[in-house]
Amino acid sequence: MALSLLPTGISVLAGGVDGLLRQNDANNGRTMIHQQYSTYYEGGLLVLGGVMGMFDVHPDLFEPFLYGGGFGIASKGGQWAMEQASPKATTTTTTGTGTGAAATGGGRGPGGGSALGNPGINYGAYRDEPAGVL
Amino acid sequence: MALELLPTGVSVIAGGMDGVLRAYDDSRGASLFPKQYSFYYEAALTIAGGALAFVGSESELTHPFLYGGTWRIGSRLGYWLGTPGGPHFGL
Repeated sequence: MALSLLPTGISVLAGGVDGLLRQNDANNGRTMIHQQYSTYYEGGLLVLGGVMGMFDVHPDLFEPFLYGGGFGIASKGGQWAMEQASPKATTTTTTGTGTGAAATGGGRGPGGGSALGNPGINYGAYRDEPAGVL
Repeated sequence: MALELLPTGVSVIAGGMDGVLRAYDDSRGASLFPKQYSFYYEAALTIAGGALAFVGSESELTHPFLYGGTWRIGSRLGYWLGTPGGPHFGL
């Protein structure tokens, strides 16, 4: 029974470490995929799972690495693809003296702070958020 | 050969959809756990993997759901534990 739960335990522990790394990434402003330590951690686990799969290792031991790491990398890939498919926007900082919401809200007004004037989805805006990023 | 790659393909596609959902969550400003659609998607994948294992499906097909979803849930728990100033699920 305990051994049958081992793969799930591995997956949860490895995922927990990934979450801690993501928090560290967010705290240090590493918002881009290639900057994030968590990307390399997930990629490393993926490679490790693949290498273990080439040798005489029981699948229950390496599949969490393979699928967990693969899932994380694919997740980042999906987010990157959606960012690429969307209009890029640049967050602006408004320092004027107007009384509008955008002026008093540091450039995060109804226009979303987009230099391109995109009133809808603004992927540039969340890049400076301390949490909730990729 | 093609069948051997099926679980990996399932994992990649499921993870890609998770990434799209996470980007959508970000665009909506849903950075906290209760609002994130991606959280429920990951939880549903984990439950689907567990249910498939119960009905005796081939493990190669259940594992991407089970470990992929479990991975992300574990990741959110780690983020929750590591958040300074109070834990939350804002991953």
